[in-house]
Amino acid sequence: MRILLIEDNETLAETIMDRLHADGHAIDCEYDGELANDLLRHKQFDLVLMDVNLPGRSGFDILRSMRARGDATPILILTARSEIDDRLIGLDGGADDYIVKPVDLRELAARCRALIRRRSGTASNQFCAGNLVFDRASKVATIDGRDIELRNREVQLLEIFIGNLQRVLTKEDLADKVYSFDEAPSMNAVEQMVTRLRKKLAGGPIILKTIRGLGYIAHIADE
Amino acid sequence: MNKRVGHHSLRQRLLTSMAVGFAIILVSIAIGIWSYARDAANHSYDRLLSGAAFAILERTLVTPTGPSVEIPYSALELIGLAESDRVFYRIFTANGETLTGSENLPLPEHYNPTDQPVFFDTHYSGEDVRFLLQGRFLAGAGYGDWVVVQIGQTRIARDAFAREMMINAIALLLLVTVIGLGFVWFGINRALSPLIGIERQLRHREPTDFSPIVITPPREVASLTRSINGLILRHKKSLDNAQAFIADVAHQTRTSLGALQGLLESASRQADVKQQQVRIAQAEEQTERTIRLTNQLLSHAMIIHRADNKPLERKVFIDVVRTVFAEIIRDYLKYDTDFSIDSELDGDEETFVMLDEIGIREALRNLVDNTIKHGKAPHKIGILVRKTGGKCLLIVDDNGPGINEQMYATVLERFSSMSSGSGLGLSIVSAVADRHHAELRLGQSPDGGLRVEMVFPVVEGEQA
Repeated sequence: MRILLIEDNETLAETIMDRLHADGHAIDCEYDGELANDLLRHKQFDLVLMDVNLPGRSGFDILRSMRARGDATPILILTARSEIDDRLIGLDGGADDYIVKPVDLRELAARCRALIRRRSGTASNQFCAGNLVFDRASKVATIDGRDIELRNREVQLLEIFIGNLQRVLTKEDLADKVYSFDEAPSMNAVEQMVTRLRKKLAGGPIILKTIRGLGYIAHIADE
Repeated sequence: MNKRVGHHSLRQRLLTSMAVGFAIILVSIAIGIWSYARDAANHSYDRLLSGAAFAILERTLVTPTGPSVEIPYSALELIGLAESDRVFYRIFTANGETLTGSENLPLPEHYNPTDQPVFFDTHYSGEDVRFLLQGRFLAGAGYGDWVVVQIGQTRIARDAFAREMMINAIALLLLVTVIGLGFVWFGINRALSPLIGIERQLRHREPTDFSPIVITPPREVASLTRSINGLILRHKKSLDNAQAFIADVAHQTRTSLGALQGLLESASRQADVKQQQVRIAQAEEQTERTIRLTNQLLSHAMIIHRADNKPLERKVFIDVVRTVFAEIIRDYLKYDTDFSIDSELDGDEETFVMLDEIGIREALRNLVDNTIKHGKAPHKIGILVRKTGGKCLLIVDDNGPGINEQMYATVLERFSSMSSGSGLGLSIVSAVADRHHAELRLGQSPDGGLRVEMVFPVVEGEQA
């Protein structure tokens, strides 16, 4: 994957680059907001990691101009503030995720993987994580090459979880996306469906965690 | 506080209201005096007119040719006592025949001769004139008719008399008023002197002086002094807290960074690669601790800062708890933890609480962090939201090691960790509770871990 890192602290930038290199990503680094913005106009990346306070041009400006251009590249914000500006993280054209400094590199790598995966399938139609391969076109998921035989609804559900890695989804969210209006599913049905999917995904890297009273959150176990 | 203008001055206010009161009294008294003085002047000068009229009437006789009059000198002299005034007179019979005097003197309407004196004021010959009409019935020798004396006198002397009375009285009144206001001024100053004393004490105070104000105030000001002294005490406490906090922070951060530096130095000097690896692993752990410490210190400072600067917002309680909890969970996915929320407020859009969302997030995050740091996997963190009466309960249970009951008060203090922790987590929770005027209770969870209960007051009604 091709990643652009925009960070003006060189030491931090280097350690992040080292780590992401080790994960097998190609990573470019920019220290200046203005230059980074120019670069983003001409080159396409799979993921942008950026600080908010940058020389030249603020991260918020870059984010806004990218979204204004229709550039939907996933963006992960690195911020030193634990109080996140609502304009940065939002469903409407904001960043996709944020992480607070000081950054735990393992956590950062996991977030990057999650973000890349959320989108990766849409381009190649194939989602890979560890021993799991999911082909969106043929709707077949395999673990260690063995078809786990997903039914239609389970495929939809898996797509939703993959598209929302590390985000809490309520049962209502899932029901809205998987069922049509006239089907009016019971929450029980949703629970059963998740349980079945979880069983089929056992042995793979995707973990569907139940948060009782809140919903579900999918994440990928550390590789 | 060098400027004393712009705000209400007590002294000015009191003086103004007193002055207005005095002015009203003065004006009403003056009106009274004026009418009294006029009456008094009329009274005395009317007597002169009456006397003269009486003297003249006495000299009217019936003669065979009709009534006749001989004006006595004394009568005119009597009226002439007022030197600057002009005098008019006319003596006439009931049918209007003038016996002597000016014929064209004005008469009041519907005058019927009577032996009672009739006074009236009118304008005559270019001046204000007061007239007297008095009649006498003359009878004898087959004659019987009224003879009327009309005497007029300009008002100059009586007006001067009334004015003089008036001016004297008002001068006296003004003097009394000024003396009265002087007393008021004196009284106000006396009454305000304790306040001025307080002001002086505060103005000359050194910024480091936190001693209470020493003054024996009158009853009315005593509570003010007490409040000021209370404020001074609170400030002192807050400053002491801040200083202690800074000292603690400095100590903790330096110690932590010192340990890190030591580990790295030791690692770089190690010739043995295995030993070096061990040191580096330790340094990593130490870094993690330092980061956690720094985050908590900043979080604590932020909570306190927000308490001073950001007002609480009216929010749907359960929504905030859910949002915040979902956000925190994302950061702890790599730990084997069972998270849950049990709410008796599900779908309750009516229960509002004044909240600082960031504060609630920091409190919950620290509780989760504590559980994972101090407990053993698999961890368990359960949130329970409940409403009883006018209160919302936020209960957080974990399956950690729990806290001994005797330690409850201590652990809420800063840097009071029982084991390897920073000792900040629960003090942050306590600061958050304080900020929300929420009661904070510690107890034992069903799993033997710690139970933290925060009791928030519910906001009623639609208004924020």
